[in-house]
Amino acid sequence: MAFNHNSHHGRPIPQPSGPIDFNAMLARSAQPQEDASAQLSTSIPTTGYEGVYAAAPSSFHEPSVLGPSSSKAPPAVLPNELPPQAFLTSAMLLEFVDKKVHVVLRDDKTFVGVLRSYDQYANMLLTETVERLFVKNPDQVMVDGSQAWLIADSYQGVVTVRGENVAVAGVVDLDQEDDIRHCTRAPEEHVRQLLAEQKARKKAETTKKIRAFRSAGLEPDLGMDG
Amino acid sequence: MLFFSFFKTLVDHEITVELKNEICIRGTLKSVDQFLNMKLDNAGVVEDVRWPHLVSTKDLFIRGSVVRYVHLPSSAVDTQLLEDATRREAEAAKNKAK
Repeated sequence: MAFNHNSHHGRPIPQPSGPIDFNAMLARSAQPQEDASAQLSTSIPTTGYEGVYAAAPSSFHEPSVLGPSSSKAPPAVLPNELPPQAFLTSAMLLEFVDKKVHVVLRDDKTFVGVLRSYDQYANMLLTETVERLFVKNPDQVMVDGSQAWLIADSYQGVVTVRGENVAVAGVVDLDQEDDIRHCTRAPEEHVRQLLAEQKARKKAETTKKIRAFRSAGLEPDLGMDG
Repeated sequence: MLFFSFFKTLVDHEITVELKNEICIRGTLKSVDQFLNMKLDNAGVVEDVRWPHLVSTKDLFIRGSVVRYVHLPSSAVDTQLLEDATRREAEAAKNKAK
């Protein structure tokens, strides 16, 4: 607790009021979750609303967030009294560690593996990873007009994913895991071949699209890949 | 910071997140962080025929950078309060710039 460097006014008393207040703050922020759940049961928080919406006094605290073990206590008081550490990237992904997760990337690649490690950028390390390839089934058209999908699993082993490419990460529901709706399994080479064809078609479409946008004098909007 | 605070007040509400690749995910907001990454519980993809990738997941982490829209229940939002807060932020930013 190196917060009282400047409060040595030459007084012989070694215990200024600074550290005691800080401990109180820490105690408050480390409140047990029972308080939090009681507060959460009220549907719309009507008290302390203004405190949350108030412009935060400093953005100095934010950039180098270290995770739940950090000793910095953010200033704002939250309406539902959860410890401030609950609203960090680290806290959100902590529950996924050592669980089987689906990670979907921005280019729609899907990896299924056990999440072992992550950081504040959502970089992830997965072990026992399988890349699940999805391709629209060109043959089967379902009764309601929608196509079923073909899937294949390609074993990758240990994989790291850079955070900026992550779109969604979710814990696999082990009960539902085996019958994936709308999907039938197919051999990997078949799926890869169909994917390559699809990719070529998509590329041709995108080039046409870009040309159309540009000739209209607009910047092309490519969604997530742009 | 304003939208971070705003989303913190929406914890435990059901929202639908539309991503930039057009996947729509509906779930209960459990947590949000300064980058507006979101954690949803009991989440499902809205048109899961088009996107079977996530069919067997319940709890999702969504990276803030891939979100396009967040659809909210209008009853959960106090627009007056939001307007006031926005004005305060604008004032603070203006004063800082001076």
